Amino acid sequence: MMLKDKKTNSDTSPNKSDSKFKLMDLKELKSLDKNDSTAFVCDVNTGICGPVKQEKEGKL
Amino acid sequence: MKITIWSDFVCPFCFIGQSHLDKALKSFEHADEVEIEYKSFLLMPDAQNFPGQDYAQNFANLKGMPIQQAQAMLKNVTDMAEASGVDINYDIAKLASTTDAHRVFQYAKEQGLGNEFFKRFYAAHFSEGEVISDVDTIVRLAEEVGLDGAKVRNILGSEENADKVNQEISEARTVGVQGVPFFVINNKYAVSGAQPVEQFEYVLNQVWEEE
Repeated sequence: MMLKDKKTNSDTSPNKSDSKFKLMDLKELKSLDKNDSTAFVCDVNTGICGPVKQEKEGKL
Repeated sequence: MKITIWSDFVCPFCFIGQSHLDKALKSFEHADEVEIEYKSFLLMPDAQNFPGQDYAQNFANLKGMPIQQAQAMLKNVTDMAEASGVDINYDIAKLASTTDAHRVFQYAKEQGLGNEFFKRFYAAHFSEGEVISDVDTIVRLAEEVGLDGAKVRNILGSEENADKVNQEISEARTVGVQGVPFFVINNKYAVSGAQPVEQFEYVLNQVWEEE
């Protein structure tokens, strides 16, 4: 299975390269969480990796 | 459907999460209509490779934590990777800065090889014990992906693409990303972390129905 991996224009920012794709603030994104599943993440501030209940981060 | 993924080559749950997403896509009937874009994130910007020092010790020193805590964290990661069929071997892995590799990744993305680049560097770091901050190693791995080695060496000898890496990290901060991997689908739906395969299957189908 080949997934699309579009070439990007090196002279444009990611937002400019696709007018339909403008990043939204996290508060505007809808969380898709089937149940109370545990996410395994690496914390962007500490770099420490482990299980994090989605609820601890708040609903997106 | 577009899936944007913030990730780093030394992020174990990014490697595991990518494997889970790939498995979910295999059973997703619209997989051919899915576009994936990786975005740079520097999880451990201060990381350095210290020859002869094992991963846990290097990580513990970097984070200022007891070696036992670092070993426990790596053991948990390894156990989960094993359960997922992902090859993470901290006995040979070498902690290293990923800044330069991300600058080359930006070039790979321009060439339409970003996804292949990310997967190659995950494997190199976690499964093969490669030092992915080493110039010759980056050039060799990039050539394996299909990139022009001379161009890669030029990038590594300059500051080229540093602004693009910083831009993508800044985007993550703007979006409010707290942990990686972080998935955004069609700029509307968020999935945080390495979720189980079933969760990704659910998400793919849910988004397809809603869109």
